[in-house]
Amino acid sequence: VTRAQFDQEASVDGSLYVGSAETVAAKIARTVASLDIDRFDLKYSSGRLPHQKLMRNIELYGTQVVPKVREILAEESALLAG
Amino acid sequence: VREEWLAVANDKVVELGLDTFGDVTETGDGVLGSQAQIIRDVIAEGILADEVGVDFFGVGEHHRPDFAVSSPEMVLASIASRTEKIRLGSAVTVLSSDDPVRVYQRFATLDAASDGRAEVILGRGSFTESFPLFGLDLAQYDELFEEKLNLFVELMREREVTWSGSTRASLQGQRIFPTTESGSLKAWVGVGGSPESVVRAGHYGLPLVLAIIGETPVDSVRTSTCTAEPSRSSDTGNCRSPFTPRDTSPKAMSRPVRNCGRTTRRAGTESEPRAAGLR
Repeated sequence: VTRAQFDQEASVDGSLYVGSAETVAAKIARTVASLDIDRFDLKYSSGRLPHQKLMRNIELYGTQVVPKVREILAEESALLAG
Repeated sequence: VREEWLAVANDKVVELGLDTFGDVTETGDGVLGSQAQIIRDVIAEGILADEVGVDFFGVGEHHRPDFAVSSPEMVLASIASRTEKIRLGSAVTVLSSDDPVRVYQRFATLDAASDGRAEVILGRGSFTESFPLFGLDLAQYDELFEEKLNLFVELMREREVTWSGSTRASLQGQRIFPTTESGSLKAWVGVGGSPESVVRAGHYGLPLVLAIIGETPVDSVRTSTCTAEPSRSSDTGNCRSPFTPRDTSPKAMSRPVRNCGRTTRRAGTESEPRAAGLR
């Protein structure tokens, strides 16, 4: 993967969900809303990234990202409902 | 009002899960952990996922030195015994190089051990090591999956099965045990982007898990679903034609994404890296 490819995939239009909890949550919410799906799974393992970092990843996903995604989707629903 | 919507959102809503392949990771200074340690790490990760309220934990199957998990359901069973809520599934089970009967039995067992939290995502596999390993011909890549999925769908009815094919011994009025408490296993078809796989899932009315490995999710799903032709829609009374957009003009392609998403929800998809569950 080149730097340019990584940057593209990490951008709003790419398939890597990378960044702060806010950035990742906004991107997931956009994916969920645009595809009208029942479930979104994030593949959190990535090559040799150590277990401790994966654990931190999971903690952030569960405690910060997931609540933010639900909040964004709820706000969108409220807006749509007028 | 906002609180009400949040309540609704949290109640129904989209499920948010995590997947891992059990990649062999570094323990420090670039040293790789043992595969045994990685398996224990994945179990700890699944337990943490449950603790922080994640809805689903998926574990992939690989037969390579860089991934430690070849039996996801074993790892999931361990996680099951130490968690309460999180749903547990494979991501994916390579059905093509396995025996559908054994897959059903193993996941029905996981379903019992986890009190009904087991799911199996059936795929063809994006790696090919399992084919020579289990004496299968890669040239039968499509046929193996097609036939085995056909049998698996029969097994999901949990009644006497009579089946014959070329990739496995025939079954005559056979029952498979254990049966599940709910009457059937929760099963999805995992798709890495092949339109044929989307059609296949739709043919059986199975939910679809779709891997979004590159580009935007919308483009990725469009590629997989909008080019799929409902080729077998008249085979059976059960079959639905899941894909309406056949007009592939630029204008049509810019619009049908939501249509695709919606019509595809009857079908299912898998996902290797990041998965979006459609059904």
